[in-house]
Amino acid sequence: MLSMFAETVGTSGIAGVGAGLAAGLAVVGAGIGIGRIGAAAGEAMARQPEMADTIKGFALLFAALVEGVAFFGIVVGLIMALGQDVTEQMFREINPDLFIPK
Amino acid sequence: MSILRTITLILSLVLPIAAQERPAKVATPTGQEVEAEVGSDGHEAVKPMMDMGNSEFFIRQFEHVAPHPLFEVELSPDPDVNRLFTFYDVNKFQVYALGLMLVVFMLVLGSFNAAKTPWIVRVFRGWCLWLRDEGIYSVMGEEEGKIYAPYFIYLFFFLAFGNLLGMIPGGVSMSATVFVTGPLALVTLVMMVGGGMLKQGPGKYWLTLLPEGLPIWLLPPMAVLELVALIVKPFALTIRLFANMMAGHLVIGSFIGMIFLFAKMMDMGWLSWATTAPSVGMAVFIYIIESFVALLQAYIFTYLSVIFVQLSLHPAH
Repeated sequence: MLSMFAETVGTSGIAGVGAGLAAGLAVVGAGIGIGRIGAAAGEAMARQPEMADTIKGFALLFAALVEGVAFFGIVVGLIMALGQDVTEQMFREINPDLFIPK
Repeated sequence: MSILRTITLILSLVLPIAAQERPAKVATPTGQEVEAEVGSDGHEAVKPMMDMGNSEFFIRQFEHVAPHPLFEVELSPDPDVNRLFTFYDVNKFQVYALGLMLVVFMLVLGSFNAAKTPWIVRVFRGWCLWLRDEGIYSVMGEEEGKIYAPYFIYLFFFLAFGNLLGMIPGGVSMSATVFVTGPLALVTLVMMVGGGMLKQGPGKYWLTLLPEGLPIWLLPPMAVLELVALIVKPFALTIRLFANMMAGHLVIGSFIGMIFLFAKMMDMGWLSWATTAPSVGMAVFIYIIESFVALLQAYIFTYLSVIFVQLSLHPAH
């Protein structure tokens, strides 16, 4: 019963839809976060121009951290999209008797 | 001294080039692995463009991002042991990065007692100094920073040169696989745990992970949470560097693949020639951003490693 369900989900191509959603929503989050960091940095630099260099380094560091978090979502999407073939390859190498080709 | 420098320089640059590239092993649809056919000019034979399906262009570009084995070293008759020592193209670029670091920093070391130094050596001296003072000493203080500074400076320049070498066309980014960034983050984890255990005593370090002043029924969940937080930090380091490097190359590959995709879809009509220019333009734009991101991610990996080691050595509570 569970294998029927797994087989339907595996062959329906919904993994691609999931991967697209993961990548798209991750990019939305990154855009919002980096936009807010940029706005705050610009405002702070306008209030205190003598701190501009410090604020620039600070904003760049945090923008890269936010982008790193967004990449988690992209990696999950990649695993979803390409995982089928990778697991097949792994099965073939580890135990050919266990591998049942489609 | 200069003879030694010359010999090291030559060896560090010639040895990797001796790794000859063999035709890669590709998987046929029936599941066996055969060697790719070699075309007339010695490279892999490729299907003609018009015969490819709509997604096969991108597969060819995306193959750049996965590591390819170059050759295997015959260390023992057991093929499983030999497979552990395969030399990948990623390894080749790691050796290139190390060779470049060797050359640059031997020049820097030689310039400390010299009268005149070329401007580029002074740039690297200033870079090292900036990293040591603002990256390491500002977080760890001078006495403790002195112990850990050599490793972190090495880590930063290894990652920076490695990532930048991946930006050369035809180059492979050495940190574009989890199997390179993972061990580097594992070294950070070992430094965190080992440094904490050395500094506070083997048993007491684990007790400092828990916050103070907790009711006793809250201790088990908090212990699990803090352990997970300890493991997640190097994991995040791994994925951040790996995904940044891989995604940059994937995006560039996608833009280049789109040129061929349009050509096939429009049967090489005039519009497909016209869309070549914006595709190449966007690829160049992403290239510029990627070369900046390469340096930035190397710095972030190093800086976060410094912060994590500092948090382990001097816990906040």
